[in-house]
Amino acid sequence: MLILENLSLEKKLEILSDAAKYDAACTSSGVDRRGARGTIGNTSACGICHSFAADGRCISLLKILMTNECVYDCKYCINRRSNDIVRTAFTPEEICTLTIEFYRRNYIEGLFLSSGVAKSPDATMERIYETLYLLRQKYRFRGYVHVKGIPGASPEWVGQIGYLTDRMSVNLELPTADSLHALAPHKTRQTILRPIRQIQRGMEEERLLLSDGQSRHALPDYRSENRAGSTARETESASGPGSQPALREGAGPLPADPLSGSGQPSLFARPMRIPPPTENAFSAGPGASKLPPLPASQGMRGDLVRGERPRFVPAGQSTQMIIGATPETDYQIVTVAEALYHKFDLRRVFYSAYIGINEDSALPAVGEKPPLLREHRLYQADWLLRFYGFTAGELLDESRPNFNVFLDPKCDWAVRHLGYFPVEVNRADYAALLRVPGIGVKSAQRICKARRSSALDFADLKKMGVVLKRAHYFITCKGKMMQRIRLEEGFVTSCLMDQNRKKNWQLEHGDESYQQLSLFDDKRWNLAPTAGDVCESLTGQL
Amino acid sequence: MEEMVTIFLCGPEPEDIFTAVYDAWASRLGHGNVLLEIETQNRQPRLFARDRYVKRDDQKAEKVARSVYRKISAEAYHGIYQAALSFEEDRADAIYRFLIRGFEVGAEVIDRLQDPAVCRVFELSRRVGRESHLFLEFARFAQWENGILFGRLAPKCNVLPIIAPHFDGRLSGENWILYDETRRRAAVHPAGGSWFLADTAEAGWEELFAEQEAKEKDPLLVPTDQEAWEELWKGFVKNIAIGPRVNPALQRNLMPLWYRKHMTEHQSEAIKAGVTKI
Repeated sequence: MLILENLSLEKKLEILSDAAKYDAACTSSGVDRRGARGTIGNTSACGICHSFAADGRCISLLKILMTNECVYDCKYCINRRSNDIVRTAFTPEEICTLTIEFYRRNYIEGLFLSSGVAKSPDATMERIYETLYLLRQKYRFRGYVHVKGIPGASPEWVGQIGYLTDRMSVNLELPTADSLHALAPHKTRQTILRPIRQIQRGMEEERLLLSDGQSRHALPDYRSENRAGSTARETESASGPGSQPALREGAGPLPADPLSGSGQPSLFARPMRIPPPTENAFSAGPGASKLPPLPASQGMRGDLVRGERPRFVPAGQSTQMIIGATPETDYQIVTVAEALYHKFDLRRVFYSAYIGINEDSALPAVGEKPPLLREHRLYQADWLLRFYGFTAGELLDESRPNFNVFLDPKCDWAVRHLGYFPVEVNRADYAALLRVPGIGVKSAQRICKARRSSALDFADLKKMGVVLKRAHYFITCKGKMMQRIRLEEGFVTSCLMDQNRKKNWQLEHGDESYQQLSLFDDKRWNLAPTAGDVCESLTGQL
Repeated sequence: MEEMVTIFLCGPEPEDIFTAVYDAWASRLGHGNVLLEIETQNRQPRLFARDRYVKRDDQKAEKVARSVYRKISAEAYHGIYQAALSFEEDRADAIYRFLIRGFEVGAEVIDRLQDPAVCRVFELSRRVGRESHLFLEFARFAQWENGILFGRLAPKCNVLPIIAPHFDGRLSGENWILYDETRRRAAVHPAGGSWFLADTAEAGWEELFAEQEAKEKDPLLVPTDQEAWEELWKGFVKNIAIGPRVNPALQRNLMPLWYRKHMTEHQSEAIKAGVTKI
């Protein structure tokens, strides 16, 4: 494989951001860290997007690959070994400079570093470690960092990188082990789930340590073998094999936990030290740097302020699945997501509509439309699982394995369970309100607070942000519905579908204006405002 | 005949509005007989109303702030402060009406969204909160040759007091200026120090800003590092979009056009022409 090392920074950024763009996650949320003198950056738990690309996806982090060289041959991936594309790699210094200079100008919220598997998973993780170490230690960067875990990487590297990053994600890639085997022959369920489990345990153990009320000095200093050993003893009782809820074997589409019952030591149980930096993982280019020796008092992270303790993956972990490349049903996918949330304590599961890049007999044809509506439905269901108290089994089942194209999952559930409705807004409990289509978490909370002082009416609900267009079929205010409605499945469904038809059509066909032939195709990737927009803004409607 | 309404006219800043609240309350004319208005150039005079000009008094404003904090809640104070940063002309009176209800019922006033007075402040505050969050996202700095980071904004609401503390924590080691061209004010942050607000209408500030920016765009000068980073960033933004997913309507929904006026990645000529027309 020809690796071009001496390309310009511009060209490298072009190639390596282009290769990274298919990753769905670009969130900078989950951790609040204040700025500090002598460092650069802070993070905000709500997350901050800095721009939106032409496809409407947010740009929050500098999303790049360390290298697009890869020894794996996953069929769906643009960087697969068998593709004939220009290969290149960033040096750690280049990544750090890019991150800092973009960050200072408020272009980005931090770094999202992923990589092709160069040589071996461990060699790649080592290179990532080297970069993050430099970023935190030399550049004293205190902003957000999201790192991809490479499947098959050894626990030592995952453990070490966990202290330098805010979020780590290992991609599940495909919902079932069979599909994974078919499309990604070099990855196995086990090599993917092992780091996920390890990160989960690392976070749990940290929580246990904190809740034990131990002083921060008792926490391990991971550079010193002795102290890590003593901490391992302290935590062993809490992290013995019995304390982990084992995955139900063969119950869902997820295979059994590769770690449960195997007696494998947990993250902290093995004495850890930073493996000595070996020879440069890729090639000994001019930018290759060795890790500088650290004064012991300074700890691992130069961005931390005095008395602050390094935390293990403080913003949690996420994963992503490709949708539409393999024959799984929505029900299988949602069940997997649910298992990931419950058993692996994930913060987010991302769904990525498959986009045909490679010609392959095992894949949908190139140029086929990505299943955007399906992806949208899965995200809607994902929110229902995490914030609305729904379970996968309520939304779908074996007999109805796919989401309704015309109705969102919440409406769909509601029309099939009209027995629960109508709900009286002034009396129903929070959980019941949350199940009403058109009432979200915020409006349900507002309703619960507001109705303490006086009874609410439809006009009040509208002001609070309830989408009456959908909600009014399912609620009463002071015992009355907004209009006379036949509370019957067929009638309500047809009313709701009528409203959604236009929106769903746009989702499926949203890009068609883009593809229309034009005599004056001037390649503007961004739409200029139309005459209508200008008029609207003049009259103050924009 | 009913008693004549007295209009308390005040300046646009939160301090002005709080002073007006104090004066209106202390005038003992009765809540129904007073109105608070922001003094603007094209204000419509009203019949059967008497104007009274309010002179900003920081002590009075502080008294109002303190009693809201003590007698209602910190949350309520946050709400009225954000509402006071709005661009809506009825904000002063909305805050006054909110406070009447607030001093009556205490901390729970903030939950009573069915009350129009409370709802209005809630709406104003939410609008300001949203806009300032978007300017945390969309503000862009350009580095001058002397190392100062300069960001130009054209917000509708008065977002500087909300966003400056964020950048104070984030870029504590940098010299930066955030310039609100709508209100002709700037938040200035010396490296290692704390930020302050400066009125830029005088003392040649704006000339300096314009001069520096012209230097950046001058094609005759040697391209600077700043331009190189800008090009890298523009290339990145362009690259990261996935062709088959392109959806300009969604993009505009999440990042409306008027926010893009001073964003680095939207400074290509075509876009700029479209936006400055607005």
